[in-house]
Amino acid sequence: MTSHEQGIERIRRLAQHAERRIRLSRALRVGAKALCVALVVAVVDVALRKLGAIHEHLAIGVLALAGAGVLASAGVAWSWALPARAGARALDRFHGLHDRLASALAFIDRPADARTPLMLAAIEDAIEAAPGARPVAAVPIAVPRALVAAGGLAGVLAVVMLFEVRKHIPVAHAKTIDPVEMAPDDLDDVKDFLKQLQQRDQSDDTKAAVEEFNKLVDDIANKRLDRTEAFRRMEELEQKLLTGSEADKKSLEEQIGKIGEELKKAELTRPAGESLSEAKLDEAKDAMHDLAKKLREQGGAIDKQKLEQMRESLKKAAAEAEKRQQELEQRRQELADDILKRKQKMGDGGSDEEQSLLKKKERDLERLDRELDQQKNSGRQLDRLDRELDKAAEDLMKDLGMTADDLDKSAEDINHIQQQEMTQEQKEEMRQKLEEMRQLMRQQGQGGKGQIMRLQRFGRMARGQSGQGGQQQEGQGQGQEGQGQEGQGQDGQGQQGQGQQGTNGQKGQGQQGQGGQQGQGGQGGQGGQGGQGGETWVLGPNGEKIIMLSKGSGGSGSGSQSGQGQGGNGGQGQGPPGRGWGEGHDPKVQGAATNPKMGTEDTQVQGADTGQGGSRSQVILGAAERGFASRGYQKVYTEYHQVAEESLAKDDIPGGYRFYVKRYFQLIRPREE
Amino acid sequence: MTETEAVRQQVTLFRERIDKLRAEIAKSVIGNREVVDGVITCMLAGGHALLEGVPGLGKTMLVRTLAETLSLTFSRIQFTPDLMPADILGTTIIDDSQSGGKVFEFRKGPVFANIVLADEINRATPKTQSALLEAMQEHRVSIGKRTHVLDEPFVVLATQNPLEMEGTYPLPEAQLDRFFFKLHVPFPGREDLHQILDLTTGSGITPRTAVLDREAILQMQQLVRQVPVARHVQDYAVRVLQATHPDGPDAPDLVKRFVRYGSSPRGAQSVLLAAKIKALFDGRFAASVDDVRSAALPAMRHRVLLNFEGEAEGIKTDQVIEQILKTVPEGKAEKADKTATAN
Repeated sequence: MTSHEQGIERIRRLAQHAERRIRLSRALRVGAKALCVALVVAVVDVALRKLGAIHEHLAIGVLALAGAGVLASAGVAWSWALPARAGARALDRFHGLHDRLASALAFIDRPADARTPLMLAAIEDAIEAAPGARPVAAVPIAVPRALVAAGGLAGVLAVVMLFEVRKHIPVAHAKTIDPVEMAPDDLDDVKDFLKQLQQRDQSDDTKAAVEEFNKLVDDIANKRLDRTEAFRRMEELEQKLLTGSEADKKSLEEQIGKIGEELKKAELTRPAGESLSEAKLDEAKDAMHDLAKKLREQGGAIDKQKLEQMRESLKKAAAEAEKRQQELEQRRQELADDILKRKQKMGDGGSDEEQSLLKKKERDLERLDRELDQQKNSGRQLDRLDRELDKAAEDLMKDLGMTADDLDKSAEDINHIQQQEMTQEQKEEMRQKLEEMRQLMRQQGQGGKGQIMRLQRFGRMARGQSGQGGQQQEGQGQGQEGQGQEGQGQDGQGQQGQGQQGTNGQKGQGQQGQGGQQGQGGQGGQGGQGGQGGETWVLGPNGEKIIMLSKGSGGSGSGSQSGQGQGGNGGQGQGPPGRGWGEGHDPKVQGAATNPKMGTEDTQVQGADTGQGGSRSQVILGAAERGFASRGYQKVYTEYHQVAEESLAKDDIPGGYRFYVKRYFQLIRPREE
Repeated sequence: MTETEAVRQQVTLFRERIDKLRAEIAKSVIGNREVVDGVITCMLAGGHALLEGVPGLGKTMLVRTLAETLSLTFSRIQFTPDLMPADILGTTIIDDSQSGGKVFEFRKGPVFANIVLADEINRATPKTQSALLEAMQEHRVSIGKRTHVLDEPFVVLATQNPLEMEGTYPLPEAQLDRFFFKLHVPFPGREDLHQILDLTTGSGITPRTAVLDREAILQMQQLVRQVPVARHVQDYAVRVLQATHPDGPDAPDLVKRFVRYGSSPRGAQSVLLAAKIKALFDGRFAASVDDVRSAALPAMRHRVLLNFEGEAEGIKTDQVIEQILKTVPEGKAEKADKTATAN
């Protein structure tokens, strides 16, 4: 090979070397970019796999594809065609050879006979210049910028691979409530009351009621109850205190009376029987003790016939309750059978008359069921007494001493029943406490402390005091509660129980008349010292307490005003209801007999008042602030206005002030909404 | 002596002559190396140059100096609005013959010279300007039924003042295209000005001698035509030319937006010839891409026509061509294969 050919070969090698470096550089550049893309794909792929969104095989496949993609991209970049004489031109450019090498290669590739002398000269010129050419310097292989990004993405991939996917376990958030709040002092007051109540009476019923009440107070104190739930619990507790007690008591008294009637038939047990008949349990207890003592002391001196008579009485008395219960059950069963027969007979049809009769019988059945329940309730209380009386009757055949012991036990049972009766009063006290709590919660209900403050300010302003004395004591000298006497009926044809109404803001508490034709009204309670302002409670037309905002300058009240109660509906007032209800009817009432063929009968159903509404003071405050147009205000106004009218009519208001009272009520009359 | 050696000697001689010519011109023309080289390039390529510059920059001096150093006939035509074509080409007159009769005799105009200075060519009417068209392109003049061939080398060096546009007639595109180069004569620098003042305000007058005769110039012109150009270099020249057209494959955004019409193929011819001459100036035997790049501006600036928007925006054709040179790649892969097969 001549030096000329060697020179040409050198130029070719140099150019090829440079081209290889160009290809390598390009492959690296493209490969780095492809690597970035592949790493992004890999990150997503691994993340999806970690999350369980794709299957493992698919994830591996995607990773393999990504890797193959990188290699393929680099390979394509390597093999992609370069511009003509790219290597030689790169050398020319870098070394400033003015295309000597590239042009020489172009001339070399021509046929030999097509080469001009200048071409040959150019080739030789290139051969001379070639030794100085350095492809490494002319085509540097720089680290692609994308490789830096690829490094970062590789880090991200590593982090993603290290991450452990944690399953999201939803945390159950406790439902928050808006707890009803009561002042700690109020709660302490209620607790003290319940504590005293429990110390005073250890009966099971009282214990259970107090326990439930305590639980309610604790829940309120610990803010576990919202307003609705608190009122519901109070309503529930009140219902428990009310339901059953009245009817059960009457049933118990009735059965005791029947036992007394039986015992009255024997000479020895007559005192006890009379006491029981008159529901004087204390006297009946003493009479039983006396009889037991007499049997122990006199023993055989007592006439056998009297003893036999007493045994018979005791036995009958013991059997009386069971007998009545059996009668009731028998009647109920007969009635149920009758209803069943009628239903089977009527099928789906039946005349209106038959339907009406069937419904009447069904109502009777329901009534009997209730009566039976009451019988059973009272029967449970009398059960021990019945057993002791029965045992006493049996022991009378054997030993008088044993009989005396049995009678002593009977006396204790009567005492126990008496104790049970007393718990009714405790329940009423609890119910009143509940009502007080309800009032407090009403006041705190919507406006909270701010509302209370405004109400207090409103109250002071209503009393003519300045609004600055926010901390002044109000209502000094609380009036003592008057205690109404129980009305007594005489011959079971009572129409009206009469209650008493306290004056000067005292609570007169009338009792329901019991069977009296003209029940004697209870005596009004003694009025206490009149308060110097504050809210005063008076009785409304329906026996509701109504707050009166007055200066309260009255002294001690006499409480001698006669109350007017509705027969059978309970007397006016807050006292415990009278015993029993009026029986019979007013002979003056001689209306036409009910026509059974009358058409439909309108029935009004009144919704249960849960007591959650605003208190009267809130209603009045709202009316003062927003106008006298609300429905609640109309009700309050009507009540107050009625009381005011009554007071005016009864000359309770001095003549000189009557105009002002009337003018005042005219000014605050309800407006149209 | 081999052919290669002979060629080498020719190239060496070429370079020596050019250096001598440059040195001789530099005695009277200070600075303006690129303009001088451009004028020499036009002469060696057999083309014509349009010199543009404000008055007093030595345009006429340059042309006159060139003519004196080349031992060539020189004529100067001062273009004015009332100049007629006959004033340039010549005219036929009735003259007395030796036999005593009257004969028509053609009196040659100033165009019949090796170097013609068309001073302020844009001041003549288009009719007169167009009288140069045939002479410039065909190197001959047709008058009546007779055609007169001009002596080689024939170079028209025209000047025009870019400032005084009133009362001028801009050269039509067809005539502009006849010019090989359009050269901008720049204002001289501080140092050049010192030299100019020293040279022209002194008492001494530097004598200029002819360094090249007509034969030498013709040899040099032949050598220029022999310089080879590699395909990739020529391809680059073609792609640059295509890029001057708004719809060209490599046209940059500037061209697409502001150019109405790109360079004619004469532009590429001029570029390539100038590239060859540039290679010889440097003592090389083949033209390079860099040579093409250096020739593109003077060879194409007067061949690219701007649209209205380009004129309104004050865009210069130099900007357009510079943008093209920046953006057009030296080589393309898809074309590389074709060129390889072509080669």
